[in-house]
Amino acid sequence: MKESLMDIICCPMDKHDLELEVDDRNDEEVLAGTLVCTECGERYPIEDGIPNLLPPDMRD
Amino acid sequence: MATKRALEGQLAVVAGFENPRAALEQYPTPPELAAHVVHVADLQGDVEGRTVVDLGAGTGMLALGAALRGPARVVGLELDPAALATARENQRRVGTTTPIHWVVGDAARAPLCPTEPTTVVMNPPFGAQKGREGADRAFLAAAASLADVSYSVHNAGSRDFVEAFAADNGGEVTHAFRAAFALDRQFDFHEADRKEIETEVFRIEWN
Repeated sequence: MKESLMDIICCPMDKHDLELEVDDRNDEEVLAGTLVCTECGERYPIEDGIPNLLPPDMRD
Repeated sequence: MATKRALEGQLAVVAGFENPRAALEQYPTPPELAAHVVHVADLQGDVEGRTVVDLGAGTGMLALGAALRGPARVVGLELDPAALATARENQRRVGTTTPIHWVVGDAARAPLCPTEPTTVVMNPPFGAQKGREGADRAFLAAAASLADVSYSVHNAGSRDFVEAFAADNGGEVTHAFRAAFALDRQFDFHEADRKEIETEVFRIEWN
């Protein structure tokens, strides 16, 4: 996930801003980490460089 | 501007679903259909310099087509992570330098809040499978909330529904065109090896 994506994504539940927590990155992308809703606190994983912003009830 | 045929050629390398799931109506968008939609959008000034969002991006055909026409950035939103893994491979094959973001998410509750002028392109599920009726309605609703302009592919005969939906949601259909394509057999319930699918594509301006 490129950090410039932060400008356009929001929490699927309440549309509030997300905060990025980085666990692993390279020069271009965040490879692993978490996106946290600044309003409801819901946590969304970034795995293999792809953020999973499915609502919690739709996650596997 | 490059020709539509050149765009088709560039998209010919885009791979489809490895294990298509009928329930999600995962049929691949053919390159000629994607090239057609993107070319028309580009002629209308709806691609260059803009944010383009592909809702239900699948393996990325429309997103990558748009990426080849100079948008500021492309976002491909898709429910199925396996499809997006293929989309990322396809991005390498196509070799575009446009920033493309692949996001796992549900179009009906899209995690997107763009502030820049945004064009949605989409080939949503037609709602042909049981339990998915009206699936394209949720995609249109998402376009209404995200986009200034959207291009959507529907099955033939959708015009009345699409025009009524747009009118009820602050939109107006400005262009409509037909596009036919051949779909290879990919599910057991498909009876023929190859079938002509009639589609209609709509350009909608949203207020």
